[in-house]
Amino acid sequence: MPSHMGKIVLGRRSLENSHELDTYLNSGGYEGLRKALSMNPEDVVAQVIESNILGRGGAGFEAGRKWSMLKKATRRYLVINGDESEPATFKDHFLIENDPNQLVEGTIIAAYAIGASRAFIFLRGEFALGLERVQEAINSAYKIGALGRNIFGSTFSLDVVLHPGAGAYICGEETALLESLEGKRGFPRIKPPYFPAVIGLYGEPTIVNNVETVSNLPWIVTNGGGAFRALGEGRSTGTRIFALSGQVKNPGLYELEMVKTTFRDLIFSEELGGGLRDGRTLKAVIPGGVSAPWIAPEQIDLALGQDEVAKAGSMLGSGSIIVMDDSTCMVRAAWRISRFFMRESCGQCTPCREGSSWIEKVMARIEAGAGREEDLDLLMDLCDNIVPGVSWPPAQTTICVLGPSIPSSVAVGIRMFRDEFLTHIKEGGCPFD
Amino acid sequence: MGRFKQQILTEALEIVKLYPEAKSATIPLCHLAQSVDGYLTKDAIDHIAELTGTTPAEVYGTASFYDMIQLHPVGRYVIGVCTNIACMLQGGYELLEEAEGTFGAAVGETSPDGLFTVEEVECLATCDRAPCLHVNYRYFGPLNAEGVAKLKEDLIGGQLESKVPVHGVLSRVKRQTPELIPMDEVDNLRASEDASKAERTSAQGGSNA
Amino acid sequence: MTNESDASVAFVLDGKTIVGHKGDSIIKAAQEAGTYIPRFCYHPRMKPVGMCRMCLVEVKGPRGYTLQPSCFVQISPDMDVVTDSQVVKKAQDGVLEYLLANHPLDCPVCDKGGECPLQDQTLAHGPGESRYVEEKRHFAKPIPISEIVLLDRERCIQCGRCTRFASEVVGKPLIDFAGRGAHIEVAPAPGSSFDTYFSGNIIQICPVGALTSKSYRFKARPWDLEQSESTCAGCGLGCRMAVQSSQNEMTRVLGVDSDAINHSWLCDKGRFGFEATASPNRVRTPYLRKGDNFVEVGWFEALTKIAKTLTAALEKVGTSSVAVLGGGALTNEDIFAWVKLFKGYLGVDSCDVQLGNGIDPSLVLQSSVATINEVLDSRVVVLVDADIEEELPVLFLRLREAALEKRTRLVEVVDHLTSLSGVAMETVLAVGSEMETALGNLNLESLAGAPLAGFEGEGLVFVVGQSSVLRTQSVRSRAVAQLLKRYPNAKVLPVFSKPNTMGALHLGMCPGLLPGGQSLDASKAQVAWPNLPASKGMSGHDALVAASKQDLEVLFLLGPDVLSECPDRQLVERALERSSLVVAVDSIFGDLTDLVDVVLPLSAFGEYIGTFTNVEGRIGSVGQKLVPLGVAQKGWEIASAIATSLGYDLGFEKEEDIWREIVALSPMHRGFNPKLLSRSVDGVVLPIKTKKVEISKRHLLDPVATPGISSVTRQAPPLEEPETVFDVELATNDEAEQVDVVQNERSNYIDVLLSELKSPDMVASDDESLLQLSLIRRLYSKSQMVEESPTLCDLASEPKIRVSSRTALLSGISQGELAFIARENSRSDPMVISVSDSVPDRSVVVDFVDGFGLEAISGLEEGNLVKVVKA
Repeated sequence: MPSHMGKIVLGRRSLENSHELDTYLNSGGYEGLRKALSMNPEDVVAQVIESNILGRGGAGFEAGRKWSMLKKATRRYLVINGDESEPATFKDHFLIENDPNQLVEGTIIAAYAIGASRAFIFLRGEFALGLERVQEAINSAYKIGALGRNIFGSTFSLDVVLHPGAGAYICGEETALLESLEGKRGFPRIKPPYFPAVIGLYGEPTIVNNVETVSNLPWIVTNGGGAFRALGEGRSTGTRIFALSGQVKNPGLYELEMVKTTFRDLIFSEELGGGLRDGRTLKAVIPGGVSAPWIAPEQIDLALGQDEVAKAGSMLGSGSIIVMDDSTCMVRAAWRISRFFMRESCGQCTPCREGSSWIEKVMARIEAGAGREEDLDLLMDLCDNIVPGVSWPPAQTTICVLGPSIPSSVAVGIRMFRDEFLTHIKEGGCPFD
Repeated sequence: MGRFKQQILTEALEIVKLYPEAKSATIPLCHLAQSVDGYLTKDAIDHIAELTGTTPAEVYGTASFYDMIQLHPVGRYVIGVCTNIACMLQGGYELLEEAEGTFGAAVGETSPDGLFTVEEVECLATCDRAPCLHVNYRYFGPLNAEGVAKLKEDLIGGQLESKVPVHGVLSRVKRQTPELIPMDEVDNLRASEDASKAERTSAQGGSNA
Repeated sequence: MTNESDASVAFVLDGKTIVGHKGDSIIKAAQEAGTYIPRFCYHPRMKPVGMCRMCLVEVKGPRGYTLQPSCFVQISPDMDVVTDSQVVKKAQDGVLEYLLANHPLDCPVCDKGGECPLQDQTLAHGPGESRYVEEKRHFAKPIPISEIVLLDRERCIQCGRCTRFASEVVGKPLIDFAGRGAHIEVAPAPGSSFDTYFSGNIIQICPVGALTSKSYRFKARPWDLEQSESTCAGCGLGCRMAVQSSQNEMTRVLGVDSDAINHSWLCDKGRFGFEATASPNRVRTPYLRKGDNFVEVGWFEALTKIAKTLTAALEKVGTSSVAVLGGGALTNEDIFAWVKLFKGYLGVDSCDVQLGNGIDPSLVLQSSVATINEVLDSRVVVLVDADIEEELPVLFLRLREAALEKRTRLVEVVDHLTSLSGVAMETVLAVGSEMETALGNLNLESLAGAPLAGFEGEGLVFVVGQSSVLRTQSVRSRAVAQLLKRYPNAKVLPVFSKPNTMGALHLGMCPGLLPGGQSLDASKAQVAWPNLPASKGMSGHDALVAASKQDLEVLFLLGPDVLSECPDRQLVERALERSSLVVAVDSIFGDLTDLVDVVLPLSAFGEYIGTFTNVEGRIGSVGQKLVPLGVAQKGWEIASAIATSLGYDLGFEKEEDIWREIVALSPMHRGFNPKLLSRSVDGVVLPIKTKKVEISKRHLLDPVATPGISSVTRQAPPLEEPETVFDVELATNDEAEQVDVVQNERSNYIDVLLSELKSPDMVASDDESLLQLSLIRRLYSKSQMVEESPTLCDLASEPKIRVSSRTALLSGISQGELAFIARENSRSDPMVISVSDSVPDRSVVVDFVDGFGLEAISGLEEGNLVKVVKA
């Protein structure tokens, strides 16, 4: 096991009752906040900029830079995005249930740094236990003086409100999340303005940060941005939780120093993924959530770094890695992903609403053995109407990035496994059934 | 119930107070209504509209957008089987079929005894335990046929009463904190903090951040 | 005002440099430059949302050209926009194909077929064949979302125009999107419906046939429709509209976009009221009472009877034995002919378009009347006894928008909370004669941000409503006159429920005045009529009272709904019964017909051509689409015929003859020429003060729904530049000066008025169970337009008795119970109690709608003290 593994956000993983306040306080909890409060807010921001932590939600934008883009206004909000719904991504779910105090402390630090008027923790509604534990952690924070008026005797005062979502993948998109938090349908906002830091919640400047991102803040403040930056490589600093799932022996969460590990290590190393099931060979890997184009077995020596994966024509996204072995029907895999987008399209703009549903129907037909050869060209053209040129990184005809996520697996499936598609069509059924 | 009553109404009013704009309470109040009825009744829609200063059409529009808000009666236990990619690769569809048989309800339907409603759901972020399902949003996995049968037995037998409460993800979420600081008080605080920050930065000759 | 260079932005459109206005979207700027970008969800009168993606164009940014919604992106200096590239075409075609994927191909039976942008786009750019072989989305076919509107969810393309109209324009989000993704649909809440006065607009702005009206559904093919532009007769606002017909039957009315008036919106009363023209109760021939029978007769017999009785009355009793009421729903041409007949030939001055509960004509004719746009851009609008949504519905939409955008501030002094109270700065509840005091207590200086001293009302507009039906003309007028005395530079916008009350007042349809507000004094008036009245006649209300005391011989009722404005039903019935001859000039038999002696068949809306003058004093054309029913005639033709039967010749053979005379003798109309109307969608505001009249450009603002454009050009309309300046025939400088002279006479009219109107008796009683009665006007009030239109006749809500919670407590009544109003020995029908603090204590408010149940109460008038008694 690499020595740096599990030291930052998953640091309390091995502790019993890691979600309880006592455990938290006995393992360095709230030291980061106390230190932050002894600093000027702008110096906390400086530390986070120094750390160069990239947002852990999927887009990978520098968190410190995001903070500095906050438009000047007396009222501004912090919203924590805990709407983790990207298929095969389960790191935030774990952090929320198992280290909720860390999340709350990170939230207070972020709120202090940007001077938020109020902070909202938006949790995916399905995380019932997580909601209980985060609310408990918030209640505890008030009890020990970490929230409310004059936090830890300082002049800083803050309220944190827990907000439950209600089941819609699109609310992970930050503007849809804000709409949802305002009590509306989760329709992503049309851009410009491009960033909630300009116009966000209730029209006020708002910072939206991911759960894992803020969960890193107590460590970063305690140990300094430089210490975080010393880990990882290039733009990909620090550690990151990789969620490994699919047809691998040891699915689970692995906090790894960025770039220092490859996909091969993660999947095959004994202390990590443990390899494939016996007798199976690797067919494809989805590197960063189902919006990401797949990578082929010959590409798995790629390092787990943001720019590294981007260079290879895909993305590290939410850091979830899905392994598919040779027992997998790739048409079925691509169809299931298209079905996901069809079910989760918000319906606001035409290409996504109609495109996702049309593509899913054609994919289902091919998988069921009723495909036609011309369907492959049709699919590529339907993809082209959502992502002109079916390029990567994608252009888009849609309001938000859910649209361009639709073609990824379908187009890459056809490109990588065209023969498998044709077999379905010629044999009138799925060869894996 | 229909409209909120007694302690639920008190809770509802507390929730509304958490937000600078009452409309934000729409979804939490839908959850709250479901904790009583399992689904969102017409009366609850009307009452939520009153409490949040919106129209029933807006509440309905918002509620119907979200998978968790039920617009029709459901069983005592809502069972959501994940068939998304990570679970599918580990037998999610087989689990779904098993669940339909065991719980006696096809997807989207409720068993004749009114106990179970079965749904096919998207990723539950529990992929290390694939294939998995939730019962009233408490997670179980990995599950095979025997696991499903045992689960049903335990649910009926009451062994899971503490782990799986009936309806409402908010039924055990209780905010116990002082009253929120009024927004205008916060505005004043932030304004003075911003002023001292401006002083500091101008003293330093103006740095960014 | 910003200067020209600040406001214009030069950008590149398809390689050419174009200058647009700062803040304009690409789609708008491109359209003005002649480049039409296809669109579905964009509506120029609503905020862009960029949802349909049909208007994608390429815009050059830091990462090269990207596809951007042209409705949402504003032009900026040197922006490089491409609308005609292969990439753009591919994206747009892709969107089109996606929209068609689930759209049913039921065009042959779709109301929108033939005028459907989706159909047109497909014809122009679509592939001949669909690649979509999957099952289409299915929904139950049309479901009602209101009493008027049906929704076909299969046809819906989810553009959100209707839902945005509901929330953004009306402020009542009673429909919203429901569901998600491909299952998204427009829906009201379960068990609710889209109940607003404006529901018809969503049918008009729907870019496909998803929203249809129950009345027009399957009625006609758009290519069979003929149309003419017209002015709505639903209220005094004068919304511009297009009346469409097929085979001598009106089929549909659509709103026309006028920047000055209605921004393309119509209320449902205006949109569907035309149906009354086809009422089975239409008067097709003259009718005459013979003994107990009411029989069809020829024109000659009817006219002879009238001439005989009229001549006898004038000879035996004199001019005071004749009165003429109404005219507010007649055209200017009609009114002028009637005024000329009675005031010019018969010397009868007791002509009144109002019935004693309106506003003093001098406040309309002599004060400075604001235009609608001036109201919206004023510092403060004081709504005096005005419930705008009920009285001038479309103005409500515009006022609400202006208040929300903080263009102006609203202050209300009303009997009850209105739909504008939520956006008003201040609402003062004042019943009856308390209004004057309440107005006097307003601190308009501070609301207007003006200095406390020396403020004379610059930027103030008093919108004088008639929400309270019992409020007398003198109480209302005195309160307004007091305001104008304090703020002489303020402007006034009167509110009239009839389309041409303003025109009638302009043309002398009120006691004591001749056309153009000239006095009866023959030596001063520029009127060469043979027999002017010797003295001021009776007001409308006084005439009714006189008739009820048998002091009147002949009573003329001009046009529809003349007496429905009068709340005192017993007075009306006595007046009609006790007059020797009652002549009703009307197009529909009403409930008072039994008390009338002669009915002369009047052509109905759609059967005549002419003009209305709206509350701003703006003249708009009224279009004719139908041949009049039976032997019905236009109002002015009937006046001429009566004149002829009396041995006079009014000298009118066509409308132009009338206008020639109006312009010649009314200083207010000087310079007007009906030809101006065909050039401007906005009409012409009186008085014309300059020699050049600015004609507003006829923008084709919403080509997706604007009527009158054949289907191909609708998608790429020609944008001709109309002449913007029109010479006015102000023949000499003298005449121009005379216009000024009339205006200069204004100086002391307020003092004169205040000296004439005595201050009202303050109603007070220590008994808290005695309540001041207030009857409030509702849009669906008793009127032919509502009652005779199948779409509207059931929409009026049941009248309610509204009291405050304190009053309810004191009177021992509660919400939902039945109660009646009791006054002295009479009492009303039982009505349902509505308890709400939208009405003040010590008052009771009842809706003035058909069957309002107070017919049985005698002597209904302002200041009545009544009790509410549980039934």
